[in-house]
Amino acid sequence: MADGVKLEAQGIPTATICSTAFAGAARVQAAGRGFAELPIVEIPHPMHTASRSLIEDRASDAASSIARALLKGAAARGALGEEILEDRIELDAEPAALQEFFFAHGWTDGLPVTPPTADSVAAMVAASGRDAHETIGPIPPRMRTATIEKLAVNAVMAGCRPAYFPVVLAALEAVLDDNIRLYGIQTATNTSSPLIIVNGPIVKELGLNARGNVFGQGNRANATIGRALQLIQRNVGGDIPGETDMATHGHAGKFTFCIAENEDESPWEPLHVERGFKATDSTVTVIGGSSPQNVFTYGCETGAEILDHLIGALTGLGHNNIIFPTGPLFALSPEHAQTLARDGYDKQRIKQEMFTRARIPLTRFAARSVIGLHHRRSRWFEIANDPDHIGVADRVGDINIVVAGGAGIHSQFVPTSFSYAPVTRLIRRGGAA
Amino acid sequence: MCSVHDTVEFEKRGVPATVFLTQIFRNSAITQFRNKGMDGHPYIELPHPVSNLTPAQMHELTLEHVGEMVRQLTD
Repeated sequence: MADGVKLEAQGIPTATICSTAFAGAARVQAAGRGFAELPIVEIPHPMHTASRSLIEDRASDAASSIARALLKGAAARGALGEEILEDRIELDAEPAALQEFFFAHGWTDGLPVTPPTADSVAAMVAASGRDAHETIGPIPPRMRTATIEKLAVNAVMAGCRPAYFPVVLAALEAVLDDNIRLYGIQTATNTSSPLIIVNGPIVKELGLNARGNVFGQGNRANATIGRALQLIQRNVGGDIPGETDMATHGHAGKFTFCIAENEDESPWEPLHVERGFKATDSTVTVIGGSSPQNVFTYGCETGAEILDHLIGALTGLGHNNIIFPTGPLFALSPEHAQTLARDGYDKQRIKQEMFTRARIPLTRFAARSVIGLHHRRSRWFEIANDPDHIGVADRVGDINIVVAGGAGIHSQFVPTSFSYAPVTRLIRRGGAA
Repeated sequence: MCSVHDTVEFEKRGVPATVFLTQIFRNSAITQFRNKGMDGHPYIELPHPVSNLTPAQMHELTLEHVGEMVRQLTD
């Protein structure tokens, strides 16, 4: 669809072929890009399990529609009409009625929100140190641009304190970087969501949790910063499950997905320093992440045994780092990191061993999967010099490690997807918090 | 914590019991003994972590705490 819009914008007629399950999402997304009339040819869903002869039949059936679309000439530009509300409205202050208003408009993630008032939004804007009318965008999937004030509305709704807002804005600007491929993360069937990793002094200043239950519930800063980014994607970007978000399952990180690195208990330099920032800088790093997989190193005493388990988690079939060239992310617990460090492993050596050893023989895949891997992981086959295996990253440097979490012999393998690389942004702290 | 739960179940059946825990789990154990009606139940605290100790180190650590274990079970 995105390619169709690009071609139509150059005056080249197109026909975008979609299976029925995705046609609605394609129309909404095309409208968001200014081509509500993009010609879409629907074919029955699903396609990937259809036999070759069935696909040939469906192609014959669709041929005349495709020809008609292409011969009609380039599509006219045009967006869908959208309801524009007043900037300020008076509402019934009765709490339950107030919440029903937000639910009725579809402005929540399914949980109640904090109603944004003129004062709370102004305080949020002030904490950013930025002009209320400055704009950020376009934000996919409907490619809308928002003012700092509108973004602040969503941060209030998510439950953020004003001091959190600069982190939300840094995370938003990071996910809009082309390397993140936010549009793909939002609209695909895959179970992905942008993961936010916070580093630097701001972690302690805001009371972000970097320790026990780091991916879990119970900390306001983690919960509401991640939630604010999700509400912005929904309420500004128009990222709506079933309409534009075609996730087969989704995951809990689509409510909120924000951790901090446990720099105090890490034996290594933190992620942002590794990525070229100063230890005293406060940053966010984002990447498209699936739900983390727990790696429980039961009975392991040594760094080598722990590493065997981490590599074991990488060599199962079906995870995203086989299909995507993004490179896996590990959130190692402090105990694992310290035991690895004690036994002579630094981050570089761990990454090198993962890169060298986490390779899956192509004999484990069906022939047509191997053809697909040669397409989707073409860079691996060009540079790895290992034609009989698929690795979990094209290059050592595509593997990322942070230290996060509390006591216990568990670490998290976060399969990543869509993003070409993680993106790190400095948190710009302007106003009074 | 399973170990606190098991200790309480033994004690309820009249079997003396105690729990080994590492420092990081101390507050959790104190709270859970209280919640299970055995406020102030003793425990044996080890330094954290023990998961990466060698068998020889574990043996040495155990010997340091055997006396305390016997005292708690026979008091």
